[in-house]
Amino acid sequence: MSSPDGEITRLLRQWQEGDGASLDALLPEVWQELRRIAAHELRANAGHETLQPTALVNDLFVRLLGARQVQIENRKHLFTTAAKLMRQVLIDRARAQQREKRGGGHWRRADLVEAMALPIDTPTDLPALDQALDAMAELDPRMAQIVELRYFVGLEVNEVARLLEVDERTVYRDWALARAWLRQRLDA
Amino acid sequence: MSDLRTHDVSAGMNLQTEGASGRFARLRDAFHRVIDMDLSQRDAEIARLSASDAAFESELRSLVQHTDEADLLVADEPSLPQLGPFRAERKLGLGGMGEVWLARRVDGGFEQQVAIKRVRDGAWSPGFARGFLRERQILARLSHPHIAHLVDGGVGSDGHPWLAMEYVDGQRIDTWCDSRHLVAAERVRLFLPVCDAVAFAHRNLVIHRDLKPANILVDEDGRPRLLDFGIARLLDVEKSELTRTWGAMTPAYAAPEQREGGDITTATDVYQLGAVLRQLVRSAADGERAQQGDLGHILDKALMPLPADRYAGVIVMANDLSDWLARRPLRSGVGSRRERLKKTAWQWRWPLAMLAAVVVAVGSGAVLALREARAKVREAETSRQTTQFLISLFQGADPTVARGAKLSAQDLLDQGSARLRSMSHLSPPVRARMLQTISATYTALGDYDRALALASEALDLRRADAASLEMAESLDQVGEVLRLKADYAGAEPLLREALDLRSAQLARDDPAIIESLAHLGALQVGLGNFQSADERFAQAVQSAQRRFGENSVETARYLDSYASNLDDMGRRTQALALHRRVLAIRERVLGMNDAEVATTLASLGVHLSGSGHLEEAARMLERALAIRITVFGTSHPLVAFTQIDLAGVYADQGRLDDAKRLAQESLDSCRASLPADHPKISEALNMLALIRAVRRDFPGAVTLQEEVLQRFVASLGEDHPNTLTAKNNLAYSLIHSNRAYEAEVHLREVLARKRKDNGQGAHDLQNLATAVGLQGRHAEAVQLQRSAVELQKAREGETSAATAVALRELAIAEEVQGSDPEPRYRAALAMAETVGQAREIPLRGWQVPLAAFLVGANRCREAVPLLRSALAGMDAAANTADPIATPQMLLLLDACSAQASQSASGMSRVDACAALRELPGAGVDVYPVTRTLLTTRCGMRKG
Repeated sequence: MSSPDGEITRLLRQWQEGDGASLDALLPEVWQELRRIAAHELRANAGHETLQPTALVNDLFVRLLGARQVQIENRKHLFTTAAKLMRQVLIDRARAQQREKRGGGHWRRADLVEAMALPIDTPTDLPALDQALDAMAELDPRMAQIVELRYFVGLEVNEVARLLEVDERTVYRDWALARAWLRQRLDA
Repeated sequence: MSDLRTHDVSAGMNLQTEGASGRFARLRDAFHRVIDMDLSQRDAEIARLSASDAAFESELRSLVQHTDEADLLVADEPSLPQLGPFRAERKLGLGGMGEVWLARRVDGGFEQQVAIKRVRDGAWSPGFARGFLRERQILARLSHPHIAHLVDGGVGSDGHPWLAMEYVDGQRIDTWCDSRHLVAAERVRLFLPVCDAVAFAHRNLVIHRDLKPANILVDEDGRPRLLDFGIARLLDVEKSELTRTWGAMTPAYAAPEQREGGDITTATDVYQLGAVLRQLVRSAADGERAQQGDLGHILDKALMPLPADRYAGVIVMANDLSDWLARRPLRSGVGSRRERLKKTAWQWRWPLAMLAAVVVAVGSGAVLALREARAKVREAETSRQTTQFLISLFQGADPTVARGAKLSAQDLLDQGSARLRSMSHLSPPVRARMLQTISATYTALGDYDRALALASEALDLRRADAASLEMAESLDQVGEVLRLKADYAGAEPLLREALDLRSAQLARDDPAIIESLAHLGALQVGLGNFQSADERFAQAVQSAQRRFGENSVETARYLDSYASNLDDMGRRTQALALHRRVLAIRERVLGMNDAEVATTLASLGVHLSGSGHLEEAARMLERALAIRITVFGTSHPLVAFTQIDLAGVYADQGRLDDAKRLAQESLDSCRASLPADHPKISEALNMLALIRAVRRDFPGAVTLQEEVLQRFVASLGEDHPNTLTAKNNLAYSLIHSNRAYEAEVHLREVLARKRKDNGQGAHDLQNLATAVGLQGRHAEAVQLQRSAVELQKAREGETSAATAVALRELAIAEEVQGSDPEPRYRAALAMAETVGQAREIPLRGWQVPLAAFLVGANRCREAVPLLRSALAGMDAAANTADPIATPQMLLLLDACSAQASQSASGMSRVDACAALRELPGAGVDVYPVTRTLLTTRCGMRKG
């Protein structure tokens, strides 16, 4: 079996050398790695900050955010950064796609979302989701954060609970509420 | 309702000053509260929480209505479910029938990643679950490089079935082709192994029924892999009548008969393959042009609306695709002007009709692709496999469902063979193949008489073509059935001839040769020639290891026989280790509920009980019995055999009622399904006799044991180990019936007839020592007990429960003889304590004889604590298994003038005396000092 790290390194190099397509292969790899970290953290002993994001992940973030340097402070910061980043990537793409189609129709679930196994429903109007999440953040920032971590990193509820240090049942209920609220708002 | 106040959001809220986020927080609290309630209570709670705020109420109501219950459902189960030996790691997505999880094996041993499907919807009845487990076993055998095979499956604690599939990290075939801009020919080439995999499954009687691009992934090596094989069928076992067009079907690729609720056959898969290929070709850059030639004809043929008009088999379609790739004219003649098509259909006519009779009736529309009809009989290996597929079908499939009618597998076979007879136009080779196949299936079902009749008929047909591999196959089959009927003399020449024929024509490690070796090994076991059996089995194991690999199921099968035989030879430790290895291989490859897993569990159970690990033995045998009943049904001989073994363990555990019930059930079903003189019937009778002996009904035991002995002598001969065991058992009952001299005669004969390689001497020696001692020859008894100790040390280990027993018996003999037994008693007790640390064994068996000796030596102060501690350990089960223990201890305590008031039994000396007097044969089993006390204090006569 080829090491995921080796594969990520190769893709990252290609991407940095200007091969835009390799980003699509790179992102699922990196996200899978992130979820592996989250799953591992969940099983590890409580209370320890064991996370050291790999240089690779760090590198990717720097490039995607167009920043000179990204200082990941802790586990929570890593995942929230990843979520914001993916949200941006997906919404940018959806907007570009809509422009191409001259505003016609809903955004269809892109291969990328599928490849990354993100639990976003099909079909979802991503720009509308983006706005709805902004509105939700004003009402209840943590609920919006839960949705971001679930939708855009693909974390499980228990992983989110662990990360945000909130009771698991509370996160489940908030998740159900957030989904109902979004559904109501996006269907309208 | 004590927390009502803190959560009550309805009272006293000032709506005017409340901001948007404050209002949302209130909504959130109310939502959390409502959503935890049952559906029936939610309405009232919403009204209550909203008080008079109508806007709030409608908002809350709308949120609750928009809630997906699935989001909540997750909240009730463990976040990372463990299913069987797998722990789910993350959700891969939602499939047509439920969630798909990436999971990892956590039961240690080795790494394995699987995709687990959890079926979520609907209520699954126990009947469904049973069918599901059985079907699963067929699929577990579907091992092909292009099929992501079923690893395991079961029913979770929530009652919903789950399936573990080999995890394929890959891309959908259409995405893969498109992203690489493959041209039509490259797509067809990639598609060929897919056809091959489907054809393979059809030969295994499994139909996919849901072929679509999402179910064909291309892995990182560019290898296409088929997912979800047979899953649709698996989930359809019970619901088939109601939902022939089940929801799992993907409309875009569905064949017309699926949409219309018609019969699902291999032709359905042909259609779906055509639909997928057409889509692949269409999106190729040169797709349009490619479809105008023969490729278009192939697709048209595969996509014919009527199943009968399509390709008759996936292989035929694949051949045409190969021809198209090589730019040859299509073999099938499809699209050519000469209508060879009709001829093809004609050639396929009878096997399809035949199959409709034999196989399709199994209910899932599975069709066996019997290519022999077209290509005449192929080499023996292919034929052998075909047979095994059919056997595995009947071993695994739920034989009861067929188009709404209840049909047993037996009915199916009977119909099949009747139909075969009516088909007069069959050529002899084809008829022989069918006879052979059905015979093998009867064998698998345990109907040896029918199996023998059909196999013999096949053999006669095949003798025309002497020395062929087909003839070898029939010789082997007839020989094996004769062996199963315990006609060893008849079986031996046939099995030998089969091996000779095969060895002359096949490579050294050919599976057919291995099978022949194993059959001959089993024959030698039946004859009691364990050494020759050992050689055959060792050869089979070595060949299988070279041919199939160290850790393959095939190797495991032969290792299993090899290990059982080692056990028969007395090499118990080695046998146990090997059996555990076999179990590990089988559980890993076949899943936890496979028939072969049951075989290993049964062997392990027998070994473990032989070395006194009764609890574990019972657990293994109970599991084996449950699996066998599920797989074979209650009336199969294998079920009866397991019942006998389990009855033996129960008897050893003192669970005499359970033991008797099982032994009786076993006897009844053996009598119903096996010839009257079959050794297994004798084994069941032997078990019932043993239970009588444990219940101390010695005259009853003797009667039955004499019958058992006669049966064994008649069917197996004087020298067979079973005959000798029966003789030993009879001797034990004779000893307890005051017939020590007769016992001695039997036991001496047993020892004389036993050779070194069939072990088990310790019991014979110990019984003989008792018989000899009862006749007053004490020095001789001591000598015999010494030999028994040596034997147990060599066989069971220097420190073992069996050796501790032998040491105690030696001490008793020494005490009777008049030498000082105390060091020996203490050594035995110490060993029992050491062994007892590792597992539970009651120590009273060593404490009480030592205490008895101490009482006799007037050392009551040392004896009483031992007796009291032993007495405290007696419970109802112990009293049933050993009715002598309590009265004996009470009598000993009484001799020391010690009160036994601690004992709840409240038994006085008089009661104790009476109990011992009434227990038949008690005089033989009590310790020497007790025996004296019986005369002095109970007024019993000596002897």
